[in-house]
Amino acid sequence: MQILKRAKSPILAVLLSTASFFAARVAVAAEDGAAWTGYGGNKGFQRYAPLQQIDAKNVAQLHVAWRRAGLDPVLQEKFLDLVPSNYLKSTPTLVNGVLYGSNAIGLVEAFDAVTGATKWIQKPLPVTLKEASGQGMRGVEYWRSGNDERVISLRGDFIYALNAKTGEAIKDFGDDGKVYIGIPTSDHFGSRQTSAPLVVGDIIIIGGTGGNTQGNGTGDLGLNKEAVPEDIRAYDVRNGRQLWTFHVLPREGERGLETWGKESWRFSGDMGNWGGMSADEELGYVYIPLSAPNMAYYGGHRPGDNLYANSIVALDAHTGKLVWHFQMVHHDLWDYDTASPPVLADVKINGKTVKAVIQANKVGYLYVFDRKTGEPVWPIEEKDVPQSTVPGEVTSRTQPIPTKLPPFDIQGIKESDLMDFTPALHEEAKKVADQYVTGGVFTPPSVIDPAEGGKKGTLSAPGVWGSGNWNTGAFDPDTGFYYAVSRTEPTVYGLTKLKPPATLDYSIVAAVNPNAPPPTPPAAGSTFAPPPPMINGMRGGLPLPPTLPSGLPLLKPPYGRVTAYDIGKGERKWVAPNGDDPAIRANPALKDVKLPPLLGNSGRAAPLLTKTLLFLADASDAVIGRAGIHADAKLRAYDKATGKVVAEIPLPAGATGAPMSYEANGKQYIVVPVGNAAYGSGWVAFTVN
Amino acid sequence: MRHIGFISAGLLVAAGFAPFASRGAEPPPALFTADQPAAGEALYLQRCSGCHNANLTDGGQGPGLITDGFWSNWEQKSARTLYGRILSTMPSNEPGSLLPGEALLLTAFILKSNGYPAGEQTLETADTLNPVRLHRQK
Ligand code: HEC
Repeated sequence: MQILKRAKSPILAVLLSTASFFAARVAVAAEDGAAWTGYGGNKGFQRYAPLQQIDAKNVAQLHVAWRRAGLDPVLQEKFLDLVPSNYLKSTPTLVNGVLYGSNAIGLVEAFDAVTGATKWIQKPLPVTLKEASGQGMRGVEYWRSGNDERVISLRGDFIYALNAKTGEAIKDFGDDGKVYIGIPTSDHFGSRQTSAPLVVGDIIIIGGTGGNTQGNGTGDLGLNKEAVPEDIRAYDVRNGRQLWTFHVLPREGERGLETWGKESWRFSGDMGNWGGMSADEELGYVYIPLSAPNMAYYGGHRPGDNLYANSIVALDAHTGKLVWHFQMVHHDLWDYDTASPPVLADVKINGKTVKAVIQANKVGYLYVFDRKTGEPVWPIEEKDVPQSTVPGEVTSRTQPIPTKLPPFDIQGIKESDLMDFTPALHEEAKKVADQYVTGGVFTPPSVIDPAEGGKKGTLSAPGVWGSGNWNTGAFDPDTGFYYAVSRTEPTVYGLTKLKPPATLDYSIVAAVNPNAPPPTPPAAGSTFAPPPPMINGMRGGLPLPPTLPSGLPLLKPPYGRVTAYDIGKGERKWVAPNGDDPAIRANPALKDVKLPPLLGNSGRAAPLLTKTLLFLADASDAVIGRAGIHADAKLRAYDKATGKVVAEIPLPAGATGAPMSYEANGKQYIVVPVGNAAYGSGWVAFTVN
Repeated sequence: MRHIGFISAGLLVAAGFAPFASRGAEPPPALFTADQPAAGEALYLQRCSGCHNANLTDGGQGPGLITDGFWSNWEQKSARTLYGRILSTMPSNEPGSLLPGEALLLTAFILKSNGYPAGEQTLETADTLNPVRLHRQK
C-alpha cells in the first residue's frame, strides 16, 4: 500500500509564459450575477449563480415566466420530416440579457432573457432536410473582443462561429464560418459530442468522440480491438486555425507510451472527453476528464495502465502541453470513464485556502487536487484489488482509492445492497444476484460459464450507467459544499470468447437473430462505408441490468440520489433521494408493501445552486428511455445544508438538461430544458414576483 | 406565455392531413411487403443495433423500440412522424446520414417488429404512412 503520486509536477516555464496571456482576456466576470457564461455556469463549471431573490420563503410561488419550443416553429414548419428528439440537452448561456442555446437539432438560437422571444436562429446551410437533421448539444460558448462578439458551437463534424448579435456565420472563421473536425475512421463515422466546446482566452478547446465505432460497436462495445484515439484539439477563435492537439493516447516518442504493452498504442483508441471541461483562466490551464479505452471490458491486448484513459489531464490551454495528470482507474475493465465535469473550488482546508479541482467519476469517488500542481489534497492510496480470471487479462494490481471523501453511490454488490422491501423480495434478489460473481467495486469482469448453475459473469455497481456522469457536480463557493448527483444501477460484465475474424479475444456480446439477413452493401448515395456489424452471429451488446421476476429492481433504493460534501472539512454531510419513482411504486408486486416515502429516481438530473437553494429536477425519460419520469415531473428546491425539500414546482415535462439561473431587469429567473413525447421539448423559465 | 412547439401535433397540422387510427378491433394495415422489413433489419443491425440492441429492447445507449417505453411515446402518433424521427435524428451520432429509402425500410422493420403484418403492397413512399396512426399490437 504505497502513497500514490502519479500526478506529475507542473512545468513552471510554460506556466509563467501563459499566465499573463490569459489574465488579460477574461471576457465575462464569473461573479457577475446577471451572467451564466457557459454550459457549466462559469469556466470553473460550478453550476452556481450568486443570486438570492428566489429563496426558501418564496420559492413555492415560482411561476412560469415564459416557455419556448426546443425548435423554433419557423424551422419546424419547413420540413415535414424534421422530427426532433425530445431530449433537449442545452443549458443556455446568458450574456447581456440574451440567452444562447443549442436547439433540438443542434443549431444555435438566441432569445430574450425576459420574454423568451426569438432574436435569431442559426440557419442550416444549405436549407435542406439533410442539413437540418441533427441532435442538440448541452451548451454553447460565448466569446468577445471589443465589438466582436461570437457564439461558438459544435454540431456534427463542425465547429461554428456565429455573430452573437445576428446569428450570421463569421466569414473569416474557417471555411465561411465553420471548421471541419472529423477524425478519419475506416467506417467513416462522424464526430460525436454532446458537451459544449470550451473557450479559454482566444482558444476554442474541443473533446468529443469519433473513433468509437471502429471497435465495431457504437459505444464502448465491439468485437474488434482497433479504434481511433479521440484527441483533444484547440482552435483559434478568430480564424478557426487549429492550434494544437493533445494525444489522449501517446504517440511514439511521447511519455506514457510505455503504459501500452504489446505495442497496443498502435491500434488502440477511444478515451474521448464527453463529460465537460473547465478552465482556470488565471493559470491558463484547462481541465479535461477522459473516458475508457477500447474495448472497455477486456484489455488482454493492451497490458499496462493505458494512459490517459480514465484520467483527468491539466493542459496548458495555450500550448496543449500536459501540466499534470491523474489516472483514476488503471487498465480499465469496467468502462469507468472520468465523465463528470471537473469543478474548480477555492476552499479553506486547515485554515489555508486551496485552489482545488474536484473530479467525480463513474467509480463514485470524488478526487480532489491542487489544481496548479495536481497534488492530491488528501492522500489517494494505491490499494490491492482482485485480479481477473479471464485468460490473457493482466489486471492492474492496485487502484487509487481516495482516503478522505467516502463515495457518493454504492460500490460493488453486497447482500445489504439488495432489494429488501420484504423478506420474500430479498430472497428473490439474493437468488438473482447468486447467478453472478459479485464483490467489491473493482471486481473484474468474468467469462460467462454456460454450464448449468454456472455464473453468468460479474455483476457490479456503479457499473456502466450508474454513479457519476455529465450531470454529477455543483459547487457552492460560499459554503464550500459540493453536491454529487448519481444514479444507482448495476451492470453485468459477462464476457464471451470470440473467434476470428473478431480481433478481440473476449467481449460482451449480444446474439443476433439467427435468421437475420446478411449485411447489405450501402445503397447508392449512402454516406456509410459497409461496416462488419456481426461476427459469427454476434455483435457487441451490453445486457440490461437484471431485475427480479416482477420487473422490480434488484437493488434497494434510493435509485437516484444527491450527496452533499463539505469539501473544506473533507466530510460527507448528507444523502437525499432525488425524487420518487412512480413506475416502481406502481409495480403489482409491491401491493400492500410499505415503501419508503421517496425511492429516488434513476433518471439523469443535473443540479443548480444559487446563494439560497439547491435545485434538482426530475429527469425526463427522454434522457435514458428506461429511466426517468414520463409524466408529472417536478423541479425541487432543497435546503443546501440539510437536503430537506423546501418546495416542489410542477414542470410541463421532465428535465432534459441542467437548469440555470440569471438576473434580468432586476428579476431572477430559472430556466430548465424539458421534454417528453407528450410535450415535445422546450425551455421553460420560472420567476417570482 | 403560449404553449408552443408541440412537435408531433404541429407536424400533423403542417402536413394537412387528418390521421385515422387503426382501432383495437380492426386488424392493423399491411403497409409493406415481406422483403422490406427484412432489408430494414440488415440496415438496422449495421446502424442501429449498437445502441438499441439487436432485438430492439434497449442496448444501453438507446431506448427500446418494441418496449412499453416506446409505446408510451408512440401510441396514436402518425407513422409518418416515426419515419421522420428516424430520418432526421438517427443514428443519433450521425443524423442526416440516412437516405429516405433507408429510413423507409427501417420504419418497416420497426413496425414489423411491433406486430404490423406484411402484405401485397410495397411501401414505396413515406406519404403512404401519413394517415396511419400507430397502435400497439398485442
Ligand atoms: C449512437 C447511438 C444510437 C444509434 C446508432 C441509433 N440510435 Fe436511435 N436513439 C438513440 C438515443 C440515445 C435515443 C433517445 C434520445 C433521442 O431522442 O434522440 C434514440 C431514439 C430513437 C427512436 C425514438 C424512440 C422513442 O421512444 O421515441 C427511434 C425510433 C430510433 N432511435 C431509431 C433508430 C434507428 C432506426 C437507428 C438506426 C438508423 C438508430 N435509432 C440508431 C441512440 C441511437
